[in-house]
Amino acid sequence: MKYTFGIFCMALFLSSCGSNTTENSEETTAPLNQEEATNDVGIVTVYSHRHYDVDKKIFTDFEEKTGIKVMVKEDKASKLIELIAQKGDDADVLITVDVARLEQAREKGILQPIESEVITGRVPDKFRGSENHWIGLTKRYRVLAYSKERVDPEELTTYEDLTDEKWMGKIAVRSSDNTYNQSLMASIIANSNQDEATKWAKGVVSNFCRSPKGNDRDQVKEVAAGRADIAIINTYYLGKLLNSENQAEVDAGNAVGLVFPNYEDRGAHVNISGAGVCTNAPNKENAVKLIEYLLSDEVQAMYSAANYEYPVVEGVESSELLQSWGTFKEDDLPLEEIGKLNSTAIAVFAASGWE
Amino acid sequence: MLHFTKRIKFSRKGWLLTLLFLLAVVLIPVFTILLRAFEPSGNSWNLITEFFLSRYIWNSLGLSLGVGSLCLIFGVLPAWLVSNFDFPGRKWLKLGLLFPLSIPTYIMAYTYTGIFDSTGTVQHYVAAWFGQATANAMYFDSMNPYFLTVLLAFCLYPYVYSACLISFSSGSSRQLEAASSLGSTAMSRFFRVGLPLAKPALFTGLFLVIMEVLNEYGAVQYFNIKTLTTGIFTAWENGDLNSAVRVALILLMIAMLFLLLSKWLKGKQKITTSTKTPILRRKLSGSKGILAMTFCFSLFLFSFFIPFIQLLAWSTIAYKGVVLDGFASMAGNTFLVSVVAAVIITMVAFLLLFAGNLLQSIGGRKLAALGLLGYSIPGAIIAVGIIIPFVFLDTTFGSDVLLGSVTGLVIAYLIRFLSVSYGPLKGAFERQGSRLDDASLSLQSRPVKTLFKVHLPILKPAFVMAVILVFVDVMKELPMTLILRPMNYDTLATEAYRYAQTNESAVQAAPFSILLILIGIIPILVLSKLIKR
Amino acid sequence: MILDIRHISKSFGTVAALSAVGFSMSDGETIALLGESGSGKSTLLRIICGLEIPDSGEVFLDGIKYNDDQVFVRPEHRNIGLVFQDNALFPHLSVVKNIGFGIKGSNKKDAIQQMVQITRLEGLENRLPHELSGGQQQRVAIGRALATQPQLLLMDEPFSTLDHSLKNEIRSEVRRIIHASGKPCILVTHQIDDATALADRIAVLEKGKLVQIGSSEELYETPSSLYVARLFGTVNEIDGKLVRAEHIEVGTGEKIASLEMQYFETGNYVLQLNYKGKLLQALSQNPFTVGEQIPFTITKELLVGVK
Repeated sequence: MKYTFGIFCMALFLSSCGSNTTENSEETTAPLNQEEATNDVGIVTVYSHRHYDVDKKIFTDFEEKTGIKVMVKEDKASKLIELIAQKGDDADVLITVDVARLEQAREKGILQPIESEVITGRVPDKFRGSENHWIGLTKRYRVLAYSKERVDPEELTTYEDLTDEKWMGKIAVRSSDNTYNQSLMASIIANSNQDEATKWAKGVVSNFCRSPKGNDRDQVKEVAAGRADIAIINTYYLGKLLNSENQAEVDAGNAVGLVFPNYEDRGAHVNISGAGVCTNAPNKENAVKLIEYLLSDEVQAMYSAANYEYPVVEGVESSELLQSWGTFKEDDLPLEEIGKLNSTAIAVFAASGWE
Repeated sequence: MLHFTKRIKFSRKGWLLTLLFLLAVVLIPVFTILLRAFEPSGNSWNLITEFFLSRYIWNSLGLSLGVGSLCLIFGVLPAWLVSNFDFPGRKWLKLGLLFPLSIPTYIMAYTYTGIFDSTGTVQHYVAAWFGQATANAMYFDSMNPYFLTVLLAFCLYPYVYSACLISFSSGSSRQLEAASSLGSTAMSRFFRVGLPLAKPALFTGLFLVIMEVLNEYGAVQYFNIKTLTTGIFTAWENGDLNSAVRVALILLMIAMLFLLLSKWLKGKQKITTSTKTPILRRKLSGSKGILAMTFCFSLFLFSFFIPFIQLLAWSTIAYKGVVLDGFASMAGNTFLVSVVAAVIITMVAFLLLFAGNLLQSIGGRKLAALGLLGYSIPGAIIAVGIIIPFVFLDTTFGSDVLLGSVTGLVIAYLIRFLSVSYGPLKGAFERQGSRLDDASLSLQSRPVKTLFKVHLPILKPAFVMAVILVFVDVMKELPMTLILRPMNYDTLATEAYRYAQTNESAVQAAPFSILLILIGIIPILVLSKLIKR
Repeated sequence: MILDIRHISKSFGTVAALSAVGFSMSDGETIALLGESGSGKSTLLRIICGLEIPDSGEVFLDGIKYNDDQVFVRPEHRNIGLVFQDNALFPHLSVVKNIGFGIKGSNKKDAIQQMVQITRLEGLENRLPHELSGGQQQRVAIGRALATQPQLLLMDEPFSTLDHSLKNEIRSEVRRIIHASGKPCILVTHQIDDATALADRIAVLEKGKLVQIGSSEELYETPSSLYVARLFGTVNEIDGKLVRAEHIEVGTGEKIASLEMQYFETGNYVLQLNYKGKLLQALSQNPFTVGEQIPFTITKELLVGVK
């Protein structure tokens, strides 16, 4: 009895505490914002789908350099887009990890064209939306990781080679729900047509070593363990394996080589992680400043070193590991096309039976 | 505060207003979002109906039934053993078997696949001891639907276990004694008395399990099993929220079917018991004792100890590679918010139960049941439903009190998890027979104090269990926390998720997961003292 | 001798619930365990039927040892019927299924039918417990316990939950059933009238000790202690003598007391008298006036602790 009453008391006490703490936390943040706003430094609010540690570091550096406070909310892009669409009055910058979500955000009208010559000057045309609603921050290539032991890379030069019967039961890849696969499919469609793409997908499906599951690293491990010969992966996952604390993962990473496909014709499929400025951004100037900073040589190099992504800005040197993977040709297709073809890609996957 | 409770009396009108207010809080967001199912959809809906819908439904059903059946075995049997028998380690196992509640399902999934994958612990040691050839031959592809079923059951059986534990150790002990004095052996007591009397509690627990499975996302997606919930997210990712909500509506209908089914299976029996003296536990001697211990310990081993130790081992290598700034404040956020939410939600569930019962004549019970809808809809979908009224209220009152505040977050938890605490409380009241009516009536005529003096002590075990269940659910919650949280606000769960998400493995998430699990164990250890027998 | 209990002791933590309790009973006998709540009577009952294990002591039923330091016969192997205070009926089973729960063998149907008749539950066979009245539920509980043909019937506070108006009727009904069954019975109660109405002998427990056992007449006439004596009503102390209220005759005598108050109860006026500054209780057929000086005589002195 005493206990029960105790619980009740505790509840009331804590709930009052709870509301106090919320008030407190708002007191500590809200007046600070106003104060800083009057000091003409202000804040920038970022909604981000990039959950990497290096992003936190970059934002802290930005705060130190400019005095602009970075407010971050991390979640899946689809949810963030919905939140901005419903609320829409506090978000300054939206960051996503693939181009399709950026296109979705643009279609929803929550992004505005970026007017900064610094930005447009640093990012090549194909990595920007046609009206600069969004721009790329980093590049990711979807490539083929092959078993150094069992595969001669000469036999595997294009994405189209994956449908060859000799790879029957040899290909490991993740689910078609994955946006990187969807963007790869979009690039296949853009470079041929929907029928050809469906035929290609069916061919790849018939060569699967198992029904798609897991993440890109799991696919490399399948190859390393000899249960598959080829894995379709994003480059930075191999970087993560090679830098793992677990020696077995490093070994798995070393067991595969990379082919950046179609180097003799259109080039390897490239996707971006990118950013846009929100339509109702209350701190538009700061938003532009932040994105400019993200495109600086310094930050571009950080992305490359910490997260094994390729710099989107030409002339910035990528990390040693990335350089060791060699030079290659990249697909010149404007990424906007890929974003727009996202739904078609999903439909092709559904029709092809790619789980 | 004593004066305060002495004076408050609830009139019938007061109860009606309370009920309607609670319903409004829950139903406005739910209907706000569900209405979008009737708005024009994008092209995802065609794809879903053409290719996926039946698969989504069958996978969802299969997974929930599979996990549900396993949870029956994992939940009922140990609860029976620890409440009726004495065997080595009983006291520890009784509590330890609740621990898996604090492991998020996706962490469980990532941990076990990490243990079994080709660079994992099992392969490493088998290769080291018996050679690579043996390791290759012994490779177990853990990423299959059957193993996922087992893993989800590891995380979720405590819902059934806790419900049965209360029933076996306090709800039906007199009847069990009566059965034994009538010559009934342990086995026949279990089937003829224990199990039938635990039925309402058991199905309440099982219903919670099935709701959790239906709404499971992280683990299911990693294993690439296409269920209704993964379908919701696929459509949404595709930019087609309206189609996603349509799938959610189908999910809701399936949840309702399960609700009706569990109601039907519970039957109409009225169980009235009151227990002062605990049941005498039988000493299980020799091989029987070892068998009981082995069963309970293996369950503890696989559902908690092994993943916990693996996470601990990963923590020792991962802590260098992760940012541990604000570790303490994250733990603080996690604990405080979970405690506050758990207590508030349990008390609101209590009010809802009373209000519904008191207003029985005008369909109060059915109205109260409407307040539980939130549990049958994925958190991410409800979150969108919550954003809209929050934005409306915030702009109307010109403040940011709701959206992006801890207060708003607690309200969101309330909408979603009311059902989790409502179930155990209702079960306990049902076992008390007419006492719910007495209690509700006394609230009308007598001060609230009577409630605490007379009625709450009987409900103590259920009340405590409800708080524990909501606490761990809130603590692990992600989809609503992520989107509705304040800016720059991290909890252990969000941080564990961030690392698990960026690497799609549990290794870097391990330090956060360990702390999360430990915090989840605190209420289990503390509160179980209150229901100790 | 059907039941023989020797030196039973049991403590919960530091509280001694029973200390060295022993008695025996013969076949067909009904014994009431009488005592205040907390006197250990329910614990003793639970020990007899095996729901509790004593710290020490022995229990024999029909010459077979059920309990000692080494032996513990489980309740399901003791042939003892138990009626719980709250009846503990199986809520999910009908009346006949409750009664038939413990019956084994081929003539189960007949046995149930017979028990339904004895307990007069005809017509209620298929009801569930919550559809029965309190008295009916109790009869089911008794019928269920008797149906297994136990060697001994135990009843824990069988009337404590009943309304006063119903109690007499149900009490005689229970007596009838017990007599019809011919079983020896131990009844736990805290009310003397239950004990006298049903039991051949009464065993009085005080703070875990058996203080006296005997027929109600013996307990009334020669109580072993004041505690026992007071079970039957007020005991007055007059000039160094113990006197029951009913053994004070008012209206005549040399001793004079003044009336402080009076009230009417079951055929008598209960008088509260002041005698030499002490309060006495006496009974009278006729009322007096408050403040009146009333002469009285002691018709019988109560001797306590004398055998």
